[in-house]
Amino acid sequence: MRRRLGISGRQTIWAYVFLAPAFLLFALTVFFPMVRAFQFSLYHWPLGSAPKVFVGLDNYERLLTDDSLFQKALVNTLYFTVATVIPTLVIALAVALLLNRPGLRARGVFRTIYFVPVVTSLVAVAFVWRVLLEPSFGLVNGVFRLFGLHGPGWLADPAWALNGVALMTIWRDVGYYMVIFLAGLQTIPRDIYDAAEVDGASRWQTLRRITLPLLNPSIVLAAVIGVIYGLQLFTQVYIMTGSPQRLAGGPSDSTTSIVLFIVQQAFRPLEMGYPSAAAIVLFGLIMLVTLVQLRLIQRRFEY
Amino acid sequence: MLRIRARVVTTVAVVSLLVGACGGASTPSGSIASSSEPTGSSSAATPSSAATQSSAATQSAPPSQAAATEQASPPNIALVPVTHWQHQSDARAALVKGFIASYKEVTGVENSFESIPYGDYFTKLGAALEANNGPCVFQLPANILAEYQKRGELAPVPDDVMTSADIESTFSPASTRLLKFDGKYYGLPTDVQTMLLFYNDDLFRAAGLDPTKDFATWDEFREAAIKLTKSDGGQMSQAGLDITGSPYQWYYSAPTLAYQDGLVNDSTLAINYASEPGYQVWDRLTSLVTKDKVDSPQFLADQPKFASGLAGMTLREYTFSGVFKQTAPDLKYSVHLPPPVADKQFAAAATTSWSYAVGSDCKDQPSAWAWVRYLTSEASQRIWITGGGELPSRTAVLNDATLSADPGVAVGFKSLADAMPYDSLGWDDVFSVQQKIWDSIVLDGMDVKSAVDAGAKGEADLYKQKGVTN
Repeated sequence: MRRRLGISGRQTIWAYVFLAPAFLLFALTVFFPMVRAFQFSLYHWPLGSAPKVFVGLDNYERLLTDDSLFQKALVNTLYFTVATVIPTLVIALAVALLLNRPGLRARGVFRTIYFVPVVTSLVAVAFVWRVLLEPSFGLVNGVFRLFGLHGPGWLADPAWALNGVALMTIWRDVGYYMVIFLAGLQTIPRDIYDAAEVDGASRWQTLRRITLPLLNPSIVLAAVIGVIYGLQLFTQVYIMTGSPQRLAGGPSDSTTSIVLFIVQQAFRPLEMGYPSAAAIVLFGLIMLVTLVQLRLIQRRFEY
Repeated sequence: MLRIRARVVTTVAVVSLLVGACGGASTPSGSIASSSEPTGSSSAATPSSAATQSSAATQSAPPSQAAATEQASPPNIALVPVTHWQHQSDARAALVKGFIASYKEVTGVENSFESIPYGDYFTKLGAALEANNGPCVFQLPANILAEYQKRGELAPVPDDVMTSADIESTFSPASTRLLKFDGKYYGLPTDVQTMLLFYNDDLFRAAGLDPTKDFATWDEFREAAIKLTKSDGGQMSQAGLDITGSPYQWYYSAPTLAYQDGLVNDSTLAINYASEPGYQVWDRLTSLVTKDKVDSPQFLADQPKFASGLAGMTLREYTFSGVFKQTAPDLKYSVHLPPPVADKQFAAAATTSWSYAVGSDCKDQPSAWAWVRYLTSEASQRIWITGGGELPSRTAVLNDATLSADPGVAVGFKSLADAMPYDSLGWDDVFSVQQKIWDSIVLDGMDVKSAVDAGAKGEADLYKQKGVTN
């Protein structure tokens, strides 16, 4: 005797049916490559018909103990993430607060101006900044010279190159996070600000006690996205530091990021095992940092 | 039906080749223009002739039928279209398209061609070959042919195209040295280049130097570079030598010329340059920036200083004799043999070369090899020389007095006469190792010996990692 499913059971089955295409696509394009990458990471896996040799965790051991370039890439990536995410979020929040002020004229124009870099091709922007940061004739050092100062060597100087990449990234990303913060600010009820004003709260107190706590979900979102993007640094470095005469990541490996390391290790020697191990390490790093971030900055506030 | 079509195609191909062979001795359309006078010394040459030819040939009609049929007697096979990939270069892409057109005229077969930006070329090629979806014909630096051969991705040159003995008697040893494995050749040479010194003649005269003379010693060269360097308000305004943006031509050539057996020992794969002449060469090269300050990494960083008229000299491949004419048409420059860097040097110039190879998974290998033979034929090489700014790998062309009568080409030919090949067993990967030596000394202030030793160790480790064996 067949047992009839209830409405809830049928709904569940239909839900899975509708989810199946997306899940299949996700499994094929995300899960399967991840599993394969993990498999590759346990092998010496040259492209072509050369034998694939199982090496266990040797690739991981070499990465974390022997490979000074990977360690430098790791430090560069973390430095870049910190050097871009914090200033970008602070500037974006300040701009969002200014643009959220009632009575501000031409608010739409300002929002557009700040958002234009976000919708511009990152490759194009990186090329332009490469010229702007040229030490002897670039516009940025030209401004320094106006004040009688000698600007840094930027992309030509190992001590400054990553800062040059970070400067461009901050300029470009401020608009993106500004939009996230503006959306968040507009969800904060006006009544709360009115009540605070009646109670005699100063601007600083209002910001600290009302705006920032209630903006926390937007700040968490922006911080998580920013850190993930930062840890995946690639395009800016590839465009701003590479040329037909020079491999990207210079000078002196000072801008080599983990993703650039993975690409260069994979496609120059055409060896998939070792860079797959680096990709798995990066995946673990992103997951770990994201979890720590959520634990540290996520707060629940209600008024 | 298919058999009939194949027979028709074969007949047409054979007839065409026979007809073409009758005119095989005629001069190709991209032939040498009348030469201009050399500017003076034994090797110096103004670029006018070579570069003008380069520009003219690039824009001219496709190479003549003579090129297509010259010494072409491909096997009696039904030719079919094949795919051809190489990295992007405007001049070379135009020439390949011209060759495709003339090959079609002769054989009725139109090959497909893809010109891929250099930055993506090896990535795309490697992945495509791995997926058995690669091109039939492709271009590889001679230095990395071994890696592709070891991965089983290359087909050997069949005897009915050229025997090993033919290859050795036809092409210069420098261009074929890295193409042979287990007694078989896996590619035919193309794009031969030597490193030459370019002078900005106007800046030379302004500094009281003679732009028609070669430098006989390293010290003469150094002193000239210092004289050519200018500063304004404590900042460099003119480099004596454009070297920091692209030092690789120096560190490919100078250490190569200091070791009779090459940079890499053939039997042990030891890296030779971590020893005395190598230290001297690296010291002299980097001292140009660290001590003599004839260039600075921060002066026009990554910008073409020489082409902008803001550097007195630069070391570049022969092809730049044409490139500068196109990118800096107002620049008055001459081309010279470079100065000796090491105290003892075994040749005047170093050479690099590429090769045309056929994929082992190519289903139409006879057609692919017929195309490669056509591209590397004597008549085709004459067109490559005039239109693509490259030097010949065929000794018959190298010995052709009609070509070397042109001063622009003559300097290149002279440099090639006893040139030594850059023989590191890698390309971009070894480049980054050697660039690191440069950066460590110039940017990080490391002492020369430590930097060179670390680089040599890095290169040896790279070979082990790649599984390169002798």
